Amino acid sequence: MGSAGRTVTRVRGLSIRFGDAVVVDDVAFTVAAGECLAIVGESGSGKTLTGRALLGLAPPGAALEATELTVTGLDARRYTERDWRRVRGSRVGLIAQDALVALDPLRRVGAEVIEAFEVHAAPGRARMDAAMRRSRVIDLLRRVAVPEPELRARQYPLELSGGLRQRALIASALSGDPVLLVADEPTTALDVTVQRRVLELLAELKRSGIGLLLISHDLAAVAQLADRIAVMHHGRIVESRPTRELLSAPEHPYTRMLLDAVPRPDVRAEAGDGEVVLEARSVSKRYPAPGRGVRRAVDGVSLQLRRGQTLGIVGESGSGKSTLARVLLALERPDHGEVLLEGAPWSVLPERRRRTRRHALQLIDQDPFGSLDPRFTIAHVLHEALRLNDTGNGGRAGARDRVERAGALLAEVGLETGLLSRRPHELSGGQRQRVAIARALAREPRVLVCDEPVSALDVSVQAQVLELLERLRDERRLSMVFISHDLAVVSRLADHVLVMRDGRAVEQGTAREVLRHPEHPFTRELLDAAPRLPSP
Amino acid sequence: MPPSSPDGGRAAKRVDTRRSASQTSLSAPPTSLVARALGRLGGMLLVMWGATTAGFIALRAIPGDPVDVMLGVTASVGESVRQQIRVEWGLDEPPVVQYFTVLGRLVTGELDSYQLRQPVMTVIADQAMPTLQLTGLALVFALGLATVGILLARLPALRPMVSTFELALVSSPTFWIGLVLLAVFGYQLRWFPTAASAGLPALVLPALTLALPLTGIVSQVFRQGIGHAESQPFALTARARGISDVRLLSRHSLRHAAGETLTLSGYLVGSLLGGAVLVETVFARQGLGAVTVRAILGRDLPMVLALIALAAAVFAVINLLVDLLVARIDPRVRMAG
Repeated sequence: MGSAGRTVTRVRGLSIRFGDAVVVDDVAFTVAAGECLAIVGESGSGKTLTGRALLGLAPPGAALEATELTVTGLDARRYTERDWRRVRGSRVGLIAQDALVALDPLRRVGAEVIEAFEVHAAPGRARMDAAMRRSRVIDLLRRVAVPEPELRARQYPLELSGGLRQRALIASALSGDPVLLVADEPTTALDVTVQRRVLELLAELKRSGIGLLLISHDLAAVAQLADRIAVMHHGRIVESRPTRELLSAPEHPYTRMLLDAVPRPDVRAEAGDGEVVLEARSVSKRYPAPGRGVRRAVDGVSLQLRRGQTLGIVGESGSGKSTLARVLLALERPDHGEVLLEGAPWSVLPERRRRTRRHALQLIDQDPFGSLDPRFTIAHVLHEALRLNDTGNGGRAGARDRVERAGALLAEVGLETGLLSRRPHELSGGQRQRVAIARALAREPRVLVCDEPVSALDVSVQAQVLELLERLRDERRLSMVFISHDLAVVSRLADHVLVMRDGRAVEQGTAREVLRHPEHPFTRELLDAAPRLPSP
Repeated sequence: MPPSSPDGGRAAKRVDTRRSASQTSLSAPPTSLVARALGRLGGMLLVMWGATTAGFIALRAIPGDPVDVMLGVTASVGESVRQQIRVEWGLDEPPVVQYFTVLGRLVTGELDSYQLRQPVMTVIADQAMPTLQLTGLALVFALGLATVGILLARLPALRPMVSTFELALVSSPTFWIGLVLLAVFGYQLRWFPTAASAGLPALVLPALTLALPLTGIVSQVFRQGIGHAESQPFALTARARGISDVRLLSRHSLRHAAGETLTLSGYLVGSLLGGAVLVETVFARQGLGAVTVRAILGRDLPMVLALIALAAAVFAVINLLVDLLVARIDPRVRMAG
């Protein structure tokens, strides 16, 4: 715990405006050495900007005001760009959002890791000794527990896994020996098991005396690491207290809302057995691997999905979940095995004969922004789906009727009909995902295949979208294949769970069996690694 | 089922075994290197063949008798002499036979120009130097001026000016730029000769004429590339390390922009070759551009085909070099290949 170290940063009355829009409003906090303060809020709450203010990296056009802004005891309010450059990397390090793209893809990991050190720690020295550089890089990579540091230093970021890239990014932030680290969503893009290790690494850094400002949308992810949590909402800190207190007795209603939104492993009552609507019989899909050989993306997986039920598929990135989804959707033909839709052949048919039945099987993708045409209005998106369905069913419903039905669909997914004239970029992430769901419903599907449908969303929005999917499933008696890396999310909806690893189904059973009595060690590891709020 | 122990670095290792496959392909030369080189060479020959064939068809499709053009409008020559010329040049043969004869001679280098009555290879060899000097200097000018523009545009105050200037250069036709340069620096200021065709001073204005439109394009694309690179997340990380603007440019964004600009090289070479035709005409210079114009006007089929084959070869070689360079700059390209 943060045994009162000296204060490394103190902020009071911090406001950031873009023109008339106040994005950060009268924010105050301190971070001491060896302490972790977490700022938690939804996207757009101003938390990222607040973190950037500590490095003087507010984007152009932002007007910044503060009654106090000290970094390592020095007043930073009047800092020029040149002053800030001396602070960045040497006193304050940034672990930027989105570890996968935060390192320069064209430079070797070693060069990226050493850069801050080169800039700050060796002033005057025209050229640093190559041997000294190398040993410094290796030391830094060792410090963040990167295996085979000599090899990794020579590689490029894209040759590293997500977890290693995040470690290399942390090493690069540590390179100039900062006393304060600003970590913006350091675990968001990572698999659960990798997430846990990165959090452990950050905890270690904290113990070594570094002050840590952790920024996240996910209360559960920060709960273990943070000494104090500041909840940010619409640019203001609405509640700021020690972690344990805040979690056990939240005062502000918004904090309570965030807490409720955290998915908890919770098994739903089992539904009765309906008929099998979708079935895979030991399907396999192989791809040529880089170099020689093949990669078994999906390896002999069998599954059954019954009417009105949800099958959750859990696994880490690269485990073959999405390939399996593509095989089920008959977007990929399996090399072995067969997929049956409503008891009839599906994967073996030629596409021409599948087309009339495609409406029964609809996809909800992770990234609704990518799956909605940016030039189409929402009305256009829905009309297209409706028209497709009308011609497919032989019916000739008129355009007037379609307007009405599009409105009804939006209402069904909890959106106002006023959004019909908007385009995707004018909607929030949650609204876009609802539109994607409405579009799928327009085809009157019997099965929804949801591939990480809430992974790109804030925790609070996640909860709402999950609720919607749950309601639709029950009202429309839909069956769902629900793919996620997050066991807690899956457990909320799933009747059956299938755990995938390296293309194989390592464990399969009812949600109750798998989550309460996991048999495979990998399932147990996934369950342990899932960030969880300490039970009150 | 894969053996699994609750070992700390397992998930990372698992992914790493998969990555190391691509890692080997990066450092060790793949065994198929020879096969790939042969493939590239084959592709190059195919492009040259396709281009010459298309040229042959196009030239044959133009109505009229090439012998008329060869002899000139004013010549009054009897039909028997004309026939003799036809036989001499093989123009009496069916088109297919002509095609293969021309192609065969092109490959062996025995093709003769109708107009100049000497081997096309000799003509090209003689005329290549002036054009190489012209295009070479133009390239130097274009890259130099573009660099100046890019550096000036780093200052926010000058950016709109640079961008307007770029647009003006890109939009102006080459021959017009040439005439303006001639009028101002040649006739008015008399800094450079207007008629001489030898020596460096005589080369400056033509090269500049050729260079200016390219400057606009290169500078535009390069600045866009830099802007794109610096809006990416890694640029924020880099700035958060306390690096200067100069270092951000030299160590990070320049490399990204260079990769994007290199893919423009094919277009640049095309502009240089096409521009040489115009510039050599406007400045009355010798060179391959002038030869091209004369060959086309004179329906000198062998000469035109040889020039087409040459241009195709130049394009193919440049594209090969660009591919190698881009792979050198961007490890992502290397690994995908």
